[in-house]
Amino acid sequence: MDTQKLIREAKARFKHQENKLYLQEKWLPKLSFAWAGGMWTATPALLAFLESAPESVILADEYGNPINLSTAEFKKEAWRVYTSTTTAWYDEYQKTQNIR
Amino acid sequence: MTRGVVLFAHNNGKDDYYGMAAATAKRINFFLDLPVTVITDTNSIREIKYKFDQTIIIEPDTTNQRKKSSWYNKGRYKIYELTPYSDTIILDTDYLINSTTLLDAYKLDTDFVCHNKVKWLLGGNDQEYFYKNFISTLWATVIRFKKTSRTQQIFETMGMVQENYDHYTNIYRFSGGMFRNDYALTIALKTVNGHFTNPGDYFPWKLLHVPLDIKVYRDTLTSYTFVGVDKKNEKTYYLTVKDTDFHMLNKNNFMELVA
Repeated sequence: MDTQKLIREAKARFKHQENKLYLQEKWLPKLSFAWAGGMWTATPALLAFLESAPESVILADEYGNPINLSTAEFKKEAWRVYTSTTTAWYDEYQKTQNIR
Repeated sequence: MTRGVVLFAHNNGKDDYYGMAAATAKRINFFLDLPVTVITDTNSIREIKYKFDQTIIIEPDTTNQRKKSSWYNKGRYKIYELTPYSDTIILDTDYLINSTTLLDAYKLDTDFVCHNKVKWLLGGNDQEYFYKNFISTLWATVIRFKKTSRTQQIFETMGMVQENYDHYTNIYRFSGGMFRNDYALTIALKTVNGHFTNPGDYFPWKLLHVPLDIKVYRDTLTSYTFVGVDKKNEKTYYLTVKDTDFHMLNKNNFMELVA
């Protein structure tokens, strides 16, 4: 049976709050990335910190391991992960906003 | 280093776990491009079109009971000895792969990783605890491990818990009777880690479960609609998910989706 027809006939309502949580669970973990032997999360705080960091910096990764990083390359990768993930998250979220 | 996925598939007279394993294996090949080995028994195996990377025959432990039927889930701890791969992902056969997410497990610099957090799609409790709500249950649904002395200890300890399940039921005060690999894993990992928590042992994303009372419909190869009734107001709700792996408790519904 066609799913849309089934939803109409069952008078089912789209659960927006559940959708928001699901998308969070789907996309937030994708902000994690491996770099220089460590695991990182591309958060706004990390990106902001890197803006003012010197050429090389020692940072503790997600598991508390201190790692010496080249700031420019690391920043580029962190921004790439952040932008691609949040863009995909935003697009999928927007597509569901008008569903009833 | 050899990578691959292993599935346990023992039919219990009610559910066709071998058929489910073949369906799951096809999706693993398609999305993850990994070989799949099935661990099964002579009563479950049958002629199918799909060819597993390897088929390993063992004698199933048939002593576990669930809802008046048998559930041949014991013996998962033997995976350490049985796996033909040095870097293994072990999955429940009813885990529906719809993305490449599991490949991210290989980016984690660890010899063992499992889920410590879950989300029930469209309902249910998010996390399960035991021992006076003190110990958060881990999930044996998806595990990735390399062969090391530590992972050998983890699986051997799971075996010890299985063999002495009544004893551990008393100590940890979870509901006894039906053996659960989730509980055995939780106790084993805690024991091997000296009752400390090692964050590196957990996937950085949640395990998504689909409760029994949620009906799932397939829209495309990777897109699904979940339909359920809210028991409080008896209204029907739905949710669509895309490119997301999830674990289905309803085996019949699972087979409808992969047919």
